[in-house]
Amino acid sequence: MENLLNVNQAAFILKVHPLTIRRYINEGRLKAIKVGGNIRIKESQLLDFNKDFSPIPPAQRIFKRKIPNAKVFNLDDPLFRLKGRGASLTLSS
Amino acid sequence: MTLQSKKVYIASSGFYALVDRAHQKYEHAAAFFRYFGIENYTLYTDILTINNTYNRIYQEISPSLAKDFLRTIFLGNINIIYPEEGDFKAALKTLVNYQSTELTFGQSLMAVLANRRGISQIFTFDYLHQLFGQTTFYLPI
Repeated sequence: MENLLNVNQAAFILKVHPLTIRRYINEGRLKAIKVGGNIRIKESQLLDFNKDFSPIPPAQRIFKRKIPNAKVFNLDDPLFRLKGRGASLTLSS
Repeated sequence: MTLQSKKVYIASSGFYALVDRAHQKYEHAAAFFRYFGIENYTLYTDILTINNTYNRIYQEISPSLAKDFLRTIFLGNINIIYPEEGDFKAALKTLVNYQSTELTFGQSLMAVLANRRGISQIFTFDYLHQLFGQTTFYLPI
């Protein structure tokens, strides 16, 4: 049977913090299995991870994305042409 | 005096109040947009908000004005955010976990999109749910 490692052992091998290993697992970058509620990593998966590891390019990161060249609103905006253009017949709040 | 960010997220009620001169908040909305223009704010909105506004104008005012609204929005200087799958999932999670049943999916999505882009002020005339520390934008008078 293949050798299984726990999070601490995997962290020791990769020389990172155990939380980093957990993060990699949550992000799906490192495959792991659960045995009796505990996380175990197959040795072969860890070796594959070492081989194939590449950082996520910044374009794929989700959080705190910035829109490039955000447009600035000014008084010449065509939206002002719509100001008061219509009147609804229902009483709106 | 605290320095306020010049990024504001516009909700559907803000757009609608500007277009509808019979709206209670029409004058307010006009003043807000004038202020944004003078102070060169960066305004954001999302495609769902635009769709909601379009539908409301279509139903309550006129289809031709609704079309004009769309044309104007896409020509103008308001930054339109297009949500991705992750944004929808986060909005659903927020909606499910929030205690109040009055939070709608649209509001939840707006809060998520604003939060992910570091926008803390929302311009709306509706009730704003306290999500991610966001606040309603008020004119600094």
